[in-house]
Amino acid sequence: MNTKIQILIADDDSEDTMLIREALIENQIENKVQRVENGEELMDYLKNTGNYSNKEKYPLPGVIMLDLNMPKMDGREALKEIKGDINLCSIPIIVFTTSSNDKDLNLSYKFGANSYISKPVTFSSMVELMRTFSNYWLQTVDLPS
Amino acid sequence: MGSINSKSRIIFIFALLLAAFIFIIDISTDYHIVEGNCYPPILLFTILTNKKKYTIILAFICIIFTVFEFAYTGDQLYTDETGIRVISIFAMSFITYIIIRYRNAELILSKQKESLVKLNSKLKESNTELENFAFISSHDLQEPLRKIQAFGDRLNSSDGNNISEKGQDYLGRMLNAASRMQILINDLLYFSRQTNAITNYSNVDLNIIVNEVIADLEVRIENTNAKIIVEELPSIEAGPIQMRQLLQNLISNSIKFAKNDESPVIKIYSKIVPNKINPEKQMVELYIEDNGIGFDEKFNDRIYNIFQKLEGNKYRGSGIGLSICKKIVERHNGTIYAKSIKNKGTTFMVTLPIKQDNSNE
Repeated sequence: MNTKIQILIADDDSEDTMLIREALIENQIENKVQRVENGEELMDYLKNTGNYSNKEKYPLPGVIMLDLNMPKMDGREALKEIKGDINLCSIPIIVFTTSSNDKDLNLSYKFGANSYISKPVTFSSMVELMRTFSNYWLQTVDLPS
Repeated sequence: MGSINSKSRIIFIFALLLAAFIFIIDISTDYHIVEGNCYPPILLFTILTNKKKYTIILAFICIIFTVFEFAYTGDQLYTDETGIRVISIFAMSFITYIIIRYRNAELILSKQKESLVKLNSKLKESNTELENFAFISSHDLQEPLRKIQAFGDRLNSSDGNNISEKGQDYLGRMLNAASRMQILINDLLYFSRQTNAITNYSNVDLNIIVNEVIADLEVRIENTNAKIIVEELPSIEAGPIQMRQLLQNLISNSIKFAKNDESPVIKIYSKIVPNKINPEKQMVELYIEDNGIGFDEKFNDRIYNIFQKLEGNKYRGSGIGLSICKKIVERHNGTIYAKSIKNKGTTFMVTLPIKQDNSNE
């Protein structure tokens, strides 16, 4: 497993983030996980502006888990902006949301999301999902550097 | 409205000029051919205008003309001329009265129409609000519920062994209730999406749909030993996904509410009947008849209510199936009706137009 790949979670829901972290630990995935709480923070993080100006501490993530419904700038806007930015568009984005709305699904892929996953209900399915996630994104595919 | 007002004004002015023209002719010649009897027909013109004041003004002027003419030509009095003038004044008053009555009735009608239109738009508004409310609230309700389930699950799997047996039972019941609520919310979401969904009408062969539904329900049909008899069905203009959902709900209901000691026999057949309001349009009456447990017909209105379960929790499901059926049928400008005898069976009759009215879209 490529443990150097950093995972960036953009989700306003701290409990969901906690569950994701725990599910990753359950699968012995030790990659560094960073979290931002909304789209604005996400853009600051990726561009190393504002609170995230320290490039050493906040390097570009290998993969982004993006929630759609967030305050300030939401996931849809952030997705559009990242995929429209020549420096950022190569980072894979996994939309990770509670929305099972077809409109959100289609829109996400149209904006260039790399995957669209509905948040699972139980913790065991979350563990299962994180296993699949790491199998694919951290072990199978080669990510851009 | 502006063009109607200006048109009325033109008609009024025209009628007024005509009356004035006749008046001038009458008093400037010695023949007195007019004798007031030309005014009533001119007054009738004002029915083409939109205000009763035009009628009243013109009637007033015409009566003055008639009286003035009489006074002006008074020295050459003829008795029959007096009679005609009196009759025309009387006729003009009568016409004015009729037109005022007509205008008042018209005013009441237009007011009623206006309030109906207002009421209708208000209803539409509150309906959309309600639909949005159902969608948004069920979506937001899901969020905390998911947490209850996830952390309950987490507690169960990580610390389950440290909890007493009683505690584990409580936890199990909590998780069970949470998952039931999840089903309810999912169904509510599905239901509210049915109202939002736009139906794309196409030509749907109901035979194909029924066969697909039967194929989907194969396992349950085998397990319950159900017999499904399908007669030749017509093709109708409808939403294929919705038709499938409708028939799936009705057929699976018939399987579900079978008697314990008798395997279900379900008959599906149809009749083509003329539309009651518009006989030129044909409707199809689709019957789904079973030999199940039936229900008391006094609950006929209640069975379509959302989450209504006549049999309580004896049967699985959230009680939303028939609500969805009703919604689908109504969206297709049809009706759904059930006849049932307790312990004998139920027949659902779905009436749908064969061709959809495009104006209803």
